[in-house]
Amino acid sequence: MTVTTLQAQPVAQAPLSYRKNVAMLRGPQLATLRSAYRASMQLGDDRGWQYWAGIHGLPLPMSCQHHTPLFLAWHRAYLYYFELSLKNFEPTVTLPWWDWTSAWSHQVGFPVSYSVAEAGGEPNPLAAGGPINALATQQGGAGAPDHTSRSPGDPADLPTAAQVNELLALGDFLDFQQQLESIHDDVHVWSGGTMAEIPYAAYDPIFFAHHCMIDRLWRLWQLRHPTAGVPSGLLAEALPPFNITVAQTINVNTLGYDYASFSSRTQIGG
Amino acid sequence: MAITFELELPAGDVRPEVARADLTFYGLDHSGPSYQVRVFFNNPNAGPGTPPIAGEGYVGKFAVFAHGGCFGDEGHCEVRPPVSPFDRRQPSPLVPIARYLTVTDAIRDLIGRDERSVTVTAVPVVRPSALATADEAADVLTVDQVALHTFE
Repeated sequence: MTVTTLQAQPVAQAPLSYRKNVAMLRGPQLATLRSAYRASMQLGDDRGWQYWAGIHGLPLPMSCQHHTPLFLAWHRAYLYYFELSLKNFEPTVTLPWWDWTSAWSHQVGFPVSYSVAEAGGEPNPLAAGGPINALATQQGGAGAPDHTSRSPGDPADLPTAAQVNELLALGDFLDFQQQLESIHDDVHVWSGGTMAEIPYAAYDPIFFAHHCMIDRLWRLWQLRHPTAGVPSGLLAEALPPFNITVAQTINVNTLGYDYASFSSRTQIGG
Repeated sequence: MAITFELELPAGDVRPEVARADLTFYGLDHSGPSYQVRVFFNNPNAGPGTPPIAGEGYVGKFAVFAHGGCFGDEGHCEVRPPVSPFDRRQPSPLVPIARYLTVTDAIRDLIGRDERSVTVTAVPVVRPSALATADEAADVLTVDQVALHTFE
């Protein structure tokens, strides 16, 4: 199968945003993230949280791509557009990733910052328990949830670093993508509650931290396999409802971001 | 409900080196509740309560993050073929999928013991979620075909 390689890119003309490990967020960074989520959750129109969460599943149409060759590209686009919507409220905010392979995760499960009920004297917007779009609940029929919930399994059952290392060694994109999606599915099912079902999973903020980890692993795989790539037949595919193609998702630097376990910067002049 | 079946192992005068062995499940349904499948070798009595440990023949698991049911009108979730050769729409998101489980060590072990076949039991487990109860595990696992592929 013909593949397109990841081209070397020139240094970006503007500073990139760096998505960070949620476990390493400092107090002000976490406060910025919470502030952006709170502001998004206060809007009821197509700039706000309920709209963005609903794109993935209910209300219809369910736009997400699962178990298809567009899985990684579609979710990269989803994170990109959602992150931009948060930047409307907090320009420096970036989505953090949840490293469910870490020793800490294997002890406690979900990140504490996404589990505590309150933060700074206010309800924690990153915790479960938030409302679900009324139309999504209505379309789900009898018994459909109107709030998010979690019912996690044993933290020791989360995917391991060894599994990820095996995954990153795979040389074929479609093989890598299918194995990564399988690990992704494991974490959704492990989470239980609304995270475990496609129609409602994205109403829980932990969804985006989980998918950031998935997107990061794709980025790490790209760095390890610079001559491998997405099959050329997929590149022109659109990723509705986003006005972007698979080809436009391949290089994260052209989308203005990258991944770093830690990042700090200071302004010199200007 | 668990499904049990038998698969042949590589046999002959020369046993192949097995660098990787994949057990592939074809035609998995993902229209209903999400589920996990635990796979056991040579333990046809395995069930949801069987400990997932090597001593019970456990060789691994995979999960299927699924669509949770149909939320449209009648026929909304039917998997339809293209209506014309020029139909460029995406295939139905509910086209059954394949999942594979890498079981290299277990297959090497069986071959090393000169086994000619293996009895595979696939046990679906539905964890409590927004749309599912554990009772729904009874009919969540449907599969068209299972194959064992080994690579040298």
